[in-house]
Amino acid sequence: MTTNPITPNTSKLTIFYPTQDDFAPENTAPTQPESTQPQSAHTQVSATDDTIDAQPMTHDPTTPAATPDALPSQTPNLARTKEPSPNNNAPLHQEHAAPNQLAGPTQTHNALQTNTASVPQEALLDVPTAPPAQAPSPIGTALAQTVSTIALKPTPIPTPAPAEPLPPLEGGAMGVLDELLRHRPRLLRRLLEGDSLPQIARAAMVTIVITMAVMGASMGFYRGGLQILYAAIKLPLVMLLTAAITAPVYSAIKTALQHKASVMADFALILSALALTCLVTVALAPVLLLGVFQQTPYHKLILLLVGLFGLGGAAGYVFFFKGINQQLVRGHRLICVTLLVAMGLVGSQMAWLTRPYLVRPASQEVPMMRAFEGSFMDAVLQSTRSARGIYKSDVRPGLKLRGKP
Amino acid sequence: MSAAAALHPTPQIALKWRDLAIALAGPAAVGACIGWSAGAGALLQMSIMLPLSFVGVTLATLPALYVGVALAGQAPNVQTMLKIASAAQRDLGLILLGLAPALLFMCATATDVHEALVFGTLGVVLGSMVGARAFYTRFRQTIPQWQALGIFALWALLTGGLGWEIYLNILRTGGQLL
Repeated sequence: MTTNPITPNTSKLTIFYPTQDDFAPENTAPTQPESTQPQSAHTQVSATDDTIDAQPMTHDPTTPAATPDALPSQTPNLARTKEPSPNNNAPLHQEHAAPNQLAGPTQTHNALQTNTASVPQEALLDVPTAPPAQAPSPIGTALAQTVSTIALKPTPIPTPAPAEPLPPLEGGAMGVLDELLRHRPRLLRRLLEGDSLPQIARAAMVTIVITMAVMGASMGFYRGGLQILYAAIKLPLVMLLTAAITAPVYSAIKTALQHKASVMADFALILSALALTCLVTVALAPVLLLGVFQQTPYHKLILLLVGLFGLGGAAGYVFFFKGINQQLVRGHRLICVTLLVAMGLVGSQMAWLTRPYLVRPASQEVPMMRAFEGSFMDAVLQSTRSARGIYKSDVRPGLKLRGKP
Repeated sequence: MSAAAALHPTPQIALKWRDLAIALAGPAAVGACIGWSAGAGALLQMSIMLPLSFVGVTLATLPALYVGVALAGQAPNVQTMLKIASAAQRDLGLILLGLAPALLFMCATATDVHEALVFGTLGVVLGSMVGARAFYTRFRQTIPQWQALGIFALWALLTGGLGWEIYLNILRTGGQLL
């Protein structure tokens, strides 16, 4: 029996590939004497490199299966021997091995023996117990690479399509008006990105002045004469001064909530919202004129005016709210409520101070502005008391009035 | 960087004298607006006592917030907490400075002191609410755990109640507006 010394190197492995004979139910007798058996094409495969050192070895099928501990999963079913192999149930093919065994160093190897060459048991037993350095099969290597590929390369998240570039703002003020009426999302995007802010602000101011002048003239038409001119002058001032006083509130709150505040952008947003308010209100001016021509009573006309301005204000506020939502990440509801309160109070007080607009029918004179008396809130409270039948006949004790001791 | 991300810069919480000036100037401006209609004396007293009350209430209740967050196991170090509080005071001052023009207009055109007081108090309450929101933003940036939210809410209620009582006392004794 020829024996080939097995290199006492823990990195050397002996790989056996099953043959047809391995699957025979019983194969007790050696097919050939060891000495006459052809040398098997065993190769000694290094666990660390890809070179193959082909060293003929002989395999004794009669010897007990003493498979090296290095290849528990690769040990072929040594049912060809009489003695059952400790790894009799071990998988024959690398594909059934655990994945971590598949991830071993790649090794090239050849299909080994094709016949059962005998290997002396002593030689097998001399194989040192090396740590299991797996030698994956080609199929196993491919499977491992596929698994690792699947594991390491996640499914790409679909990125949103880049936003289309904004078209240039053409047509000057009319272009801004067109976008304000027909393409409000595009205008909001311009305000967010800071595109053409001075142009938008100028166009909004011009819109406010012209539309409120028309609306004021419509209101003054109730009395006629100089009141048409007075109301056409006062109403734009009310809108612009309200915007000027309440714009710092928005910028200050934005800065306090750690948003980047641009005075120009904030003012442009407020002016744009007011411009939309004025456009909607002036579009409803024919309703007011119809009421005037129908000789609607004074107080009902006042209520009609409140309704028309309320509708315009709602449209402008929705636009403003959308602009705030676009610009802010946090606290936008609180900012909207605060600005609604601030603009409502300031605007109503400003309008009260610059009254009259319709002029009561009993008034003899048509003043530019009435004397400074009372306030909007005071007028609301007084009207509430009057509606309940409580009329103010004298001054309340302790009440401090402006200009009086 | 997206346009929305560009609008949200990294918060700066370094304490500067400018921040302290803003923290005091905002309440002083609002106090001046409230005391405007009651005469020069009330104007001066309100413009001094309102900033002191804001700072004093915050300093008095801040340890309670820190202890509560520390007991919940989520407190940063003391210096960080102080920086957050000072930055929040700066934010509150900025908010009140922004409200000052509108408040001045409303209080100056009010018919009597009580009407001006109503507008001024409304401005203080709104400004305090927004200031609390700003403080909460900085608080969550440093202590992102959701358990701190309950502690902060309790602290905000306590501070709001204490601040309201002190504000009424200032109106009665300092500004003689009530």
